Amino acid sequence: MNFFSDERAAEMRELFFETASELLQLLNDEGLKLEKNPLDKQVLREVRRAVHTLKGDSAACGYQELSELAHLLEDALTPEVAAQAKSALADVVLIASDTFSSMLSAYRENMQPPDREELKQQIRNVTRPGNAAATAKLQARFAWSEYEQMEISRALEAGENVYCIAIAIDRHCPMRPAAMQLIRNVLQQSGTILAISPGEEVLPQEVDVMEAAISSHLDQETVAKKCWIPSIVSDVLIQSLSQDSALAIQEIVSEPTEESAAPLDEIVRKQSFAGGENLLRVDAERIDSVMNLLGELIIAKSMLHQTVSEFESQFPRNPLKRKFADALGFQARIMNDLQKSVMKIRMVPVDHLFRRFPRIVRDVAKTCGKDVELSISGQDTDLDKSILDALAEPLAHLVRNAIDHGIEMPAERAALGKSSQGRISLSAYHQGNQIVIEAGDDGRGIDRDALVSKAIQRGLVKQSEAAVLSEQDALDLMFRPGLSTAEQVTSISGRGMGMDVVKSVLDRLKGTVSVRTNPGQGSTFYLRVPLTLAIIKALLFRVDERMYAVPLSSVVEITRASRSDVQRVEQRDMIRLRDRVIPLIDLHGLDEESPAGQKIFLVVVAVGDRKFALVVDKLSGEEELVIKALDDQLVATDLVSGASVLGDGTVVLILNTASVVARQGRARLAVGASA
Amino acid sequence: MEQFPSLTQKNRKAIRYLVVDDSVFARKNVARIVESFGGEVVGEAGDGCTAITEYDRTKPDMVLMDITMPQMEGIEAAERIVRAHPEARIVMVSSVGYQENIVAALQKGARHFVQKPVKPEILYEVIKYVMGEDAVAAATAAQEN
Repeated sequence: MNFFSDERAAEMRELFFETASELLQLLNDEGLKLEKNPLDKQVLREVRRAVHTLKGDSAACGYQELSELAHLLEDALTPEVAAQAKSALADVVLIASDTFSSMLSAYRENMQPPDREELKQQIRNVTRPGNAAATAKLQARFAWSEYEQMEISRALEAGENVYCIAIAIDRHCPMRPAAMQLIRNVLQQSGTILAISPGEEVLPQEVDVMEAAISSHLDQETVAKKCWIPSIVSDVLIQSLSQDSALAIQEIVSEPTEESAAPLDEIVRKQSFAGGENLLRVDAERIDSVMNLLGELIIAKSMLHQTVSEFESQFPRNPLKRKFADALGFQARIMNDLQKSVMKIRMVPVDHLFRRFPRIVRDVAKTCGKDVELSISGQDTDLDKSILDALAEPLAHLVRNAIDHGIEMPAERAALGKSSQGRISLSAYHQGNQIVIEAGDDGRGIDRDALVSKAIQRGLVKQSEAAVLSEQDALDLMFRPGLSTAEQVTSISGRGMGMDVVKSVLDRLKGTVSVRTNPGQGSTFYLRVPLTLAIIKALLFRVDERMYAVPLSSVVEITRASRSDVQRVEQRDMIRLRDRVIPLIDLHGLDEESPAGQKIFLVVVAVGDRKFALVVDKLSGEEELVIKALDDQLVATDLVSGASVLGDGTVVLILNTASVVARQGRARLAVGASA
Repeated sequence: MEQFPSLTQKNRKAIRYLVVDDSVFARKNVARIVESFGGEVVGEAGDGCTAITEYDRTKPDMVLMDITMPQMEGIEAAERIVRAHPEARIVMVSSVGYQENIVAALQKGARHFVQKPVKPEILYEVIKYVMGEDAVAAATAAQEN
């Protein structure tokens, strides 16, 4: 039993963290909207609702500090505060979202939540009383009982002044019972109490606002002044009731205040959530295990294929041949669909990644004093969740960089004839078996010469080499460790990771990063990643009796050439293919010297915008490969991204084309030796 | 210490205080604070009984009264003073721990309470509030000097 409840609690917690992070995302989005339209009640309500839900959920999970803080914030999210605080309220919401998020991660690690004083201070700042408008933030209900209403009407009929008073007890007042007593005293001294709520039966800890109706010979101002009890009262709302406004009490009572409207919203929300009941939260590991089994199935399929083709060659006239072919074809189709379905489970829209960016762009732009607009497209494109998660940091880095260094200051932009508002664009789209994510800006572009001279200065390239660098090679220098063209390291792009880390993440994902730039017009980074990491279509070939594979998506063409076509330029083998000269990579060992006239097979592979040709001995067709990760201790090279097993048991090494091209020029390859 | 605009009676005379606390240190501390408001401490008492006789002797404008004291507790002293002098302005001074006592004292006629340790800015506001119409604050602290 105990075990069950523990497990249940853990499950609930997990669910809480998940929904909480969704709420924070919502908070972020709505906070940004609020910043643009501080007075939009709809947006404000959304924010409030998110905070409200967070408050309830965190309280239910026992995260008291978070719940209290959310409560504090919720109280500040009223149209009145918004009207007074303007965009400062949006700031508070965004800071709150950050604070909540760091608290959540602390909770997740079972650690003490971090300091929350700053947020509290910020909330206090926007709700500080004394600013005339703030008094209105107090929402009074004045929901009197029938008896109390009678008392009020009687006093009005007798021609007395009747005031409805709401008094908010200062949240920081530690002595609530005493505070409530003092308020009662003050009300009593100011006149006759006709109605008061809450009564003494309510626990003082739960009382934030006391409401009362009193009849008094004092004027409204004096009563109000008396009610502003120092160190106890944070807000006072006072309404004078005249005889003809006796009816108004009824109205006040029945008027749907925001407070009472909220539950309705809640119901609507619950209903819309009910529509999502078909959603299932599944542990990623379970999907991975299905994926693994599917991988084995694909290997089994190719075993069957192998056997059938042996059978066919042994019994070419056997009528079973056709039946086998049909059955295999059918099986292949189903497996194809199955594979797609399983992959789809892992897929999430790129929007999950992109939607963090409005906030990042806003924050960075604000810090830099720049005006930046973000445009997003292709957010519906699906991508493997694990890839998407891994891309978050690199992409954030690129965007930060673009705003910090790429986009010019507004004045500078205006002087250049550009619109003073900079532009960052994020987009995602399919390209073959890959997803391309573009991050572009319309800033000053990348200074190629500065980049190259910095690289020379840092000893990354020699002067002589630098002179012959192609445009693309020069730009690629930025992805080498220890290079940054920014004149000064700012707090924004100086932290976290450099371009080299962006590249290493992409390498790990079997993806590529490349950049295009137009001086004065901006630059665009292209992150290319495979749709999924698990299964790829690959081209198989043999070199030195060893089987290799490259992702089919990266193969541009397969061609034949003669050894004599190969030319040596700058200590590299190059080959002319139609009108382009491309580098040649020979996977054979170093010692091998082939006769000049020999015909060779070339597999032309594209990595990013670059092409190179692999010299291979024999092509062995294409196949779906289930990638098995290779243990780092077994294979000490990044040139191989994984291995796979074919139907006949042959082991295939899958080349990591991106690393191969990076290595090219540094040394001749010896993949076979290191594998 | 922070400078406050001096708080006086309407006729510009200093407000007269009676400070009641069994701790000499606490008394001196409170006295120092009210003097910084331009007030005058006309009497001090270390227990409830003395507080009552001192009140009768000095007729202060304001009593700052501790809750827990030997001989007679602050609540009882406050109650007796208010019963004899309904116009008496008594502000209870106490730690958070004595909530119920404060509630009782308020029910018995104390006008306000401040928490120990006493924060001058809070005490200032409280005194100003309790004195109400009968006190005026100088426009600035500088005027007094």
